[in-house]
Amino acid sequence: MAPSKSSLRAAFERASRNQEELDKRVFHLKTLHETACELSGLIQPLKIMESFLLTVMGVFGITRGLAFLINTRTLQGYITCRGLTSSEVQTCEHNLVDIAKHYLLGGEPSPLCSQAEVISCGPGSNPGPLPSGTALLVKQMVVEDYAVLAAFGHRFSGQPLGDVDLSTLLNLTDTLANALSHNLFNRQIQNLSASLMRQSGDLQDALRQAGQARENLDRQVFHLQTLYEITAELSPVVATEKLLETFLLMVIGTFGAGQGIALLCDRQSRKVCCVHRGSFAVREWTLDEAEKILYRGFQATPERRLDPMSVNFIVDPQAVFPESEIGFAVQTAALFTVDDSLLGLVALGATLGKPGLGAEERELLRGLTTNGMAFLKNARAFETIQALNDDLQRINKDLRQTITDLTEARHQIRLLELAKSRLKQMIQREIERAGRLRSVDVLLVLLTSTVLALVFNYSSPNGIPILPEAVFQAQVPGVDVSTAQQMLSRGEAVLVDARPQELFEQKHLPDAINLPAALFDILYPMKLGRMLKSDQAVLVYGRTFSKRYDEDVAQKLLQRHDNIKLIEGDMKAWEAKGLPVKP
Amino acid sequence: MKTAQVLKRWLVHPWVGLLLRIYLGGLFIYASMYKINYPGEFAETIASYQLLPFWAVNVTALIMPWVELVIGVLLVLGVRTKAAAALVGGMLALFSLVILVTLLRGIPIGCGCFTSVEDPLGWGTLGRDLLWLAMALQVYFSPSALQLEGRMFKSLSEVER
Repeated sequence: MAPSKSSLRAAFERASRNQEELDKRVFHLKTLHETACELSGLIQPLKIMESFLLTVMGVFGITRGLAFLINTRTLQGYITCRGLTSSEVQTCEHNLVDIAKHYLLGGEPSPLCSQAEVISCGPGSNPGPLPSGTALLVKQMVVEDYAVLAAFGHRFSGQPLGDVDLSTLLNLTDTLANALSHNLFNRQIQNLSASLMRQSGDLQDALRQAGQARENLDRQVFHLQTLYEITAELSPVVATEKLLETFLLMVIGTFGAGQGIALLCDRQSRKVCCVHRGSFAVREWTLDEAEKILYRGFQATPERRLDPMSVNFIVDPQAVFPESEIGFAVQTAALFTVDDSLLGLVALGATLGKPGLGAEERELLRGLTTNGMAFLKNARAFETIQALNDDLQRINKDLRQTITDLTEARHQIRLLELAKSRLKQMIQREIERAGRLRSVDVLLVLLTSTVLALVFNYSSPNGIPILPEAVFQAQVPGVDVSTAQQMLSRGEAVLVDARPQELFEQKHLPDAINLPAALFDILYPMKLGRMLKSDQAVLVYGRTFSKRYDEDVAQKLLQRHDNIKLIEGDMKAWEAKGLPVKP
Repeated sequence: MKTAQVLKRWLVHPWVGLLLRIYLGGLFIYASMYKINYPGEFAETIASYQLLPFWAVNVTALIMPWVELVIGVLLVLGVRTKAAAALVGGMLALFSLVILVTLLRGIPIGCGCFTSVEDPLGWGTLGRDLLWLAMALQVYFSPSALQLEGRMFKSLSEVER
């Protein structure tokens, strides 16, 4: 059976409706495709949302539209709109939080989900915080914390959107959400990348700083090590010159200097100590020269101060200390002041591979010099102590000697005291003795006189015998008075009176011849020699209590005659017989 | 009374003492000189007095001049003045006694006081000896100045003090 016309028409109409439907779908799909392509090319979210609004309003012939991208956590977001008055836009911006709370967080009419959703549609629906005239609301979660909300007004045609239109709108919203989501992700990735870049830079910086710190640390360790070593090297040394030498060796070794000189000027003891290392013409320094060069150095220091235990670097040392004076080209020089009277200079020649010392090396040199100064000060103190000690020992020795001397002196004083007391006693005794008569003195005078008399008499040519000679001479024979008288009367004898003339003249026997012994040699020839006959005897008389004159004269006569006799009893016996005497 | 006091003060004055001391000392030294040199002659003189036994004459003639010399020196120096003055006094007293006895006995001899050749002994000689004896007494009893011994010990005691 052939199809009827009506059925054909109907079929044609159906076909044309289908065609229309298909065209519409193709148009929507094309729109979707174009929109997707356009949105994916945009970078900024506002542009994306603006493009979305234009597309939707163009496709569906809508008069006005509004789109929000809202952070659900901070309740802040972007707004874009088309066909709204500026006051409506301001209200929307003002009510953003309320809008977000009302449509996105409140769950009215349905909770937020990742699928696009039409919230309200139709002219009678409640616009809420949104501007009046809002006919359609669409919302969708973009990513976590972000949601998109789109509001649209009425169509120009006034007809509501059909199912296909709604579906297309939802698809478009989905595309928007995707584009935004993509955009947000991109942005997040960019942020992350930027942050990563920044962190990487920071890390690089940190690494560089760590490297520098390590370098500093190494340098400081080296400096400390050097300081420790110089301390260890200097600590056992006590002599100033040896200290200075060790110090200079350490400094030269530390900085790798070719030449070096250290000069120490002690103004108190007026001594100069100079040590040097390296090959150059060495010279001797006098105190004046050393003081002059130190003064020149002092004038070339920036501070021009001489604080105790300070180190001052000399500016332009090559100009201050010419090579002709020092012996080498000075690269670095520092003046150091131990105290007011102890100054010094340390000068270094060219260092290996470097024009001069850097700031840190200068600080190290300062540290080394300060350390050296401390030891120099100690050495000086030690020398002072040594000198004091020597002094003390000498004084001690003197003191000991003094004590010995004093002890000896005390001993002597004691002896002298003893002598003094003895002398005192003696003097006392002598004074007492001088004032009175003592029999001892008399005896002493007599004894002394006797001894002197005997000694003198023994040695004198006029000496006499102690006892009379008569005592020792042979006895002269005697006759009695009667016989004598008879002999005289018969003329047989001559009578001789031996006594001195005075006694003879006083009294003598008649016819007696006076012949004293003292005048015998003169008187004998005159008075007796001539008258005496050879047969006559000589009768001698005359003696006293004190002297036997008769015996003395008889002895003399016996040398000339044999017949010599003494009258026994002398004149007394004569007178006793009654015989006469003269005168 | 006043004159007596003045006289007494003068008599005991140390300077008078010194004068008499030196005079007597010098006298004795002078007297001893000849006798020491010629002891034989002095022995004759002593014998002529007939007062000593014959054996004692020589000893006396030897010793007596030396005693005179020693005490004369002591007197002049002022050493052991007391003993010396006593001895001088004693000897002068002895001489005076001997002269007195000899004069009374009438022995015609010289004095022999200084030398052997002198005028004969007389009363003048006795008076002279007695005067010297008085001087000796003054020296014995009174202090005299410038005594070597006293001066020496006095100054030593000053040092000691």
